[in-house]
Amino acid sequence: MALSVKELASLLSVLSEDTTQTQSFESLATSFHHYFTKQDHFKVGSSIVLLLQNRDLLPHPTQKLAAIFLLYEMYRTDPIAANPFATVFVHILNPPTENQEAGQFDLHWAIPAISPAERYFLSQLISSPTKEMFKKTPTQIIQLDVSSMQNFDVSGLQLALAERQSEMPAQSKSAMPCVVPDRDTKPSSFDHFGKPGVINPDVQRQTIESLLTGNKAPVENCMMPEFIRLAPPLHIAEDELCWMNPVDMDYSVAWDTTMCVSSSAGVEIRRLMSKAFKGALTLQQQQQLLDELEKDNKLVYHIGLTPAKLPDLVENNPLVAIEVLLRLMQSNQITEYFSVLVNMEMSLHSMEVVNRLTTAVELPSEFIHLYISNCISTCETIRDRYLQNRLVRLVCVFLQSLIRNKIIDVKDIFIEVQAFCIEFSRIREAAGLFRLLKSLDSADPQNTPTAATR
Amino acid sequence: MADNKAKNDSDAEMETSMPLPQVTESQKELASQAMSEFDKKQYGSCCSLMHKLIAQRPTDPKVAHNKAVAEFFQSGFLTTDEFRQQLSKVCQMAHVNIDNSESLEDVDHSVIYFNQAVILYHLRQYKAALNILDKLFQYIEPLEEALAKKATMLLVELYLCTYQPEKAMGMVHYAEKTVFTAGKNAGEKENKEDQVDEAWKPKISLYKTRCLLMMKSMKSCKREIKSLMSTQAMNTAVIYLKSNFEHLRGNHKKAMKMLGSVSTSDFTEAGECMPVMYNNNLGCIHFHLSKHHLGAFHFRKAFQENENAIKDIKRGAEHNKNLSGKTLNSIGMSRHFELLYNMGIQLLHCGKAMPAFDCLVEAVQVFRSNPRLWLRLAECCIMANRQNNDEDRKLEKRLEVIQGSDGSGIHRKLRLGPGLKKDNPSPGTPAIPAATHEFAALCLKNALHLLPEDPLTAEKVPIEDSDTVKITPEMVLVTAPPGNPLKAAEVASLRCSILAASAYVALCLNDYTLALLHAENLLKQPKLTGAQRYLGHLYMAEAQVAMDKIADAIQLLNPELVVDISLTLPENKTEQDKSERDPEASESKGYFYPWSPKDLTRAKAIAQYNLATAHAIRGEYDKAGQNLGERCPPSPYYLVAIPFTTVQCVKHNKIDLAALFAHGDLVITKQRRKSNVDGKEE
Repeated sequence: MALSVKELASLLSVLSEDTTQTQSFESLATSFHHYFTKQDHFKVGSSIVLLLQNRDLLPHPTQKLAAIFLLYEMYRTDPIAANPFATVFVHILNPPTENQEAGQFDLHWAIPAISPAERYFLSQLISSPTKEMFKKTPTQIIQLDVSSMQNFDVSGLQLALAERQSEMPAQSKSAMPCVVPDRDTKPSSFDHFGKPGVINPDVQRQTIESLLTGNKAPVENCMMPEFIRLAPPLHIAEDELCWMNPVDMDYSVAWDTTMCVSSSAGVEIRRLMSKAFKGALTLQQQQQLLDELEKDNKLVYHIGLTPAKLPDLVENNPLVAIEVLLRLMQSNQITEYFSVLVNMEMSLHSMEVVNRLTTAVELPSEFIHLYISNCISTCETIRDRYLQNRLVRLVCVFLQSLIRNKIIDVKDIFIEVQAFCIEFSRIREAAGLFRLLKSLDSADPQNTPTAATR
Repeated sequence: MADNKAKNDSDAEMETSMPLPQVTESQKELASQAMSEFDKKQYGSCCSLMHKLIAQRPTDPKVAHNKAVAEFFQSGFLTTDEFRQQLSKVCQMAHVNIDNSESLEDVDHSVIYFNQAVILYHLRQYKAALNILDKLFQYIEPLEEALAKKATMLLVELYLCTYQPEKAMGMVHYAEKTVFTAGKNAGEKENKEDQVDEAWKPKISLYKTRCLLMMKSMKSCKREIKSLMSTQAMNTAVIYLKSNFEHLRGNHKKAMKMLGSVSTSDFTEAGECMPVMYNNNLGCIHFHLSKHHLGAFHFRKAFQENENAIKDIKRGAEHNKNLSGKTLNSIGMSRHFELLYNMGIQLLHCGKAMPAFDCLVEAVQVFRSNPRLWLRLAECCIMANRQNNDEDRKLEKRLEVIQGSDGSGIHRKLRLGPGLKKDNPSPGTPAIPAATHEFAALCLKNALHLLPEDPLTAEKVPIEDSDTVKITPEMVLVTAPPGNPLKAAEVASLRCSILAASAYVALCLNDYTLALLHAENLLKQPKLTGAQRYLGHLYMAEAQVAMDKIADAIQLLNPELVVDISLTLPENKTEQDKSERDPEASESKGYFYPWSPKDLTRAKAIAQYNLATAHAIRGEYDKAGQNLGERCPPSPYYLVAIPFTTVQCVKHNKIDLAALFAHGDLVITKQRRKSNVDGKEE
């Protein structure tokens, strides 16, 4: 953003007192464009604004006018409202001090007021520039008598600017330059002794240089109203650090005490079980298996039955499956066996196992419900008509037995089972089940037995 | 025909699963001899017996397993690598795939599972060990008794190591009821249902105490500790637990005394380095006494002890193998990362943000699931960028208001400073840890994600059933390794802190939308400390101003709204709780690190200053001036950020800058004098 020393020298040569007094605006513009390209324009413009804000840095009226002209010239090809320095023009034409009591205060960044001739020139520049204008020199303009001429109307520009600014957040519009004039009455050199307020070109040049050039030049900075942003306090936790307690246990590897302690029964049972997963056992074999299980409580855990293998056992040897499951009731894995059981493919055998289990022990009711819905959906989806009829009959008998033995509460499954009965009302057992349902439900007057007769 | 085929099938299976020949009587004899030698700890003779046995039964996995076990014992647990290899060979022989099988297939393999878990435990791969033991536990009933006991104990230990005290407690209860019931013979079962085996009682009690401490249920813990102290008051583990208990209750002096009473032998039987623990725990105590530098000293010492201990072990290990050479117990001995964690938090409270950051960034790689640790990391970043809130009031900062002058005579210009804001663009991506606000934002995001869903936002979907809201998940613990898990109240307060920090960091990153979101969320939380509410208002106002909602912001900044800036929640403990605590331990609670503003007057002044700022941004300089001038209580902040507002107002009032600065000094000296007087009066 800051200018280089060379750029500053070029700018000041264009804005020097001599040049601005003698040359026309046209030639000022030419020499300006000679030094600066389009990319430089914004930073040069910012520098010019800072110079304008300090009356002692551009003391001569022609310099000031030339500076204002350059702000215009840089963005001449764009519409005037798009000129980033358009606000400066509005500011000059309506100085904020005018609205207040004159002289009451003096904002340090306010650009000093300009003469009527200059105002005339500026407003013409904004609204309808003519070629002759640029042929004149700043001196000629200043000497112009404008008392008889009418000011041009710039309200259009003001409106456009106001509109653009209203889109910007207030925070972005509230900065101020950080350079504050602070006049010192002390003479700056021997020559100026006793002549306060007289411009010293050397000091002036130095000041401009330090304001506009270098790293972090003041021209880059501005000051904004700022919040005090407090950092949050550190989180307070009462028990955060890691306290260390010695561990009083010695966790060491263990010796396998079952080494070579072979139980001949175990081996035989395992052999039988692996057979039982693959096909039906003979009655003799079954009896042997059950006898051995009877002898040793823990043997059931050693026979190699996992939940995954349960369906095979159920299909091939339902009787063995029932016995084994009954012995596994104490195991903490029993729920897994159950869930495998109720989710396995529906068949006569699985139904038999479930049925026997329900009579022998109290099964969790959700398992039974799950199994029933599983059965019903299997019946509904099966394609083979013959098989379907067979399965439906099975399910109906199974349900009747469940209901009669009061293993399930009819109310819990009423709707589901009723729908099932209606769907398969062509099958005698289904109709029978339906009648059973109705008879249990007859206390309820809402259900009229119309559907049953269909 | 079919029968025949089935027979072939089963024979084939026999060959893969049970190729073992029958055990002869002599082999049986040999095996029982080996076992008795093993029980007598005569590992040498046991090994030679096992060699004989394996020569006769080369394909028996159990024999191979026990041979490996005997050799491992014989080596003094130095050959962990070899043992692991042997174990995996045994697995192959027995067709066991420990890592992939869904569950244990055969109870016969349970010892293999157990030993694998033991090794993993010592390698500190707790999750993996737990995985294996969980599978084993499904078969706990048929297990041989001694093994079942060992397995449950290890399971409890693993639950504790993975900070799941409820599960551990459940397991302890289960164990009490079943595994450790004395006289488990079927006949006597009914008589001695709840009689726990005497020999195991103290151990179970120790586990219980550890669970209770981790769950921070002090009352039951007290009972448990009392019974422990009455039976084995000289046990180091018991004394440490008691000390931990007193520490948690806030009786720091007592805790320190307890620690000091233990004779510090260098290593425990389990291979833990006592000096490390001793110093670490002292560090914890000093942290809670707000003696942070002393705490840091002890942690540093613990660190050194830890390094020394590891060095000793390494020196002992001449082999270049991975694990072998150290005894099994000492493999996982180093507490490096726990110590880094403690040290980091301690340093943060010493105000040393950068060293703390370095420690915690290391620790977070191990303890990734700890939301509080992520918050701490973010706090390090925040502190590294703003040491504390008094920073603005330092003389050098105040002098920055006027940067200098240029020129002389009528050309003399003052250069004013750029204000408080500093935008330091961070180099690189925020994913590379560095003490920047960008990285802090990342940390806070992690922290927030690690917390259970905010009950406030979670409830939004089912608004109707307001009854369910009351059933707050009081027992849900959030893990915060390596510290104890967080209780619901702690989670709530942690969430508030994270939200406050998130809002602050978002503001610093100029992400006002996010800042507003976090601040709103913060203010919605049910339990806020005074300071958090105050900060929530400030952050929200700043974000709103940046988003051009100045009117809302002005409402928020009303200094009359600032009524409380306490850092802790008001105590709502019952009388009972209070009486339970020792009277001398009253200093225990509260904040560990000072925060500014310390008093209400200053807090109000800051709010008022910000109010003035908001007015100034809106161009209402008169109001801004009023807030800065007459009504504003004399505050050092009045001058700190002199920048815009003040200058503007001053210009309005035709006071020149020099006078203003003179005035400012006056205010400050007045304030100082006033506080001096106040101090004397107190």
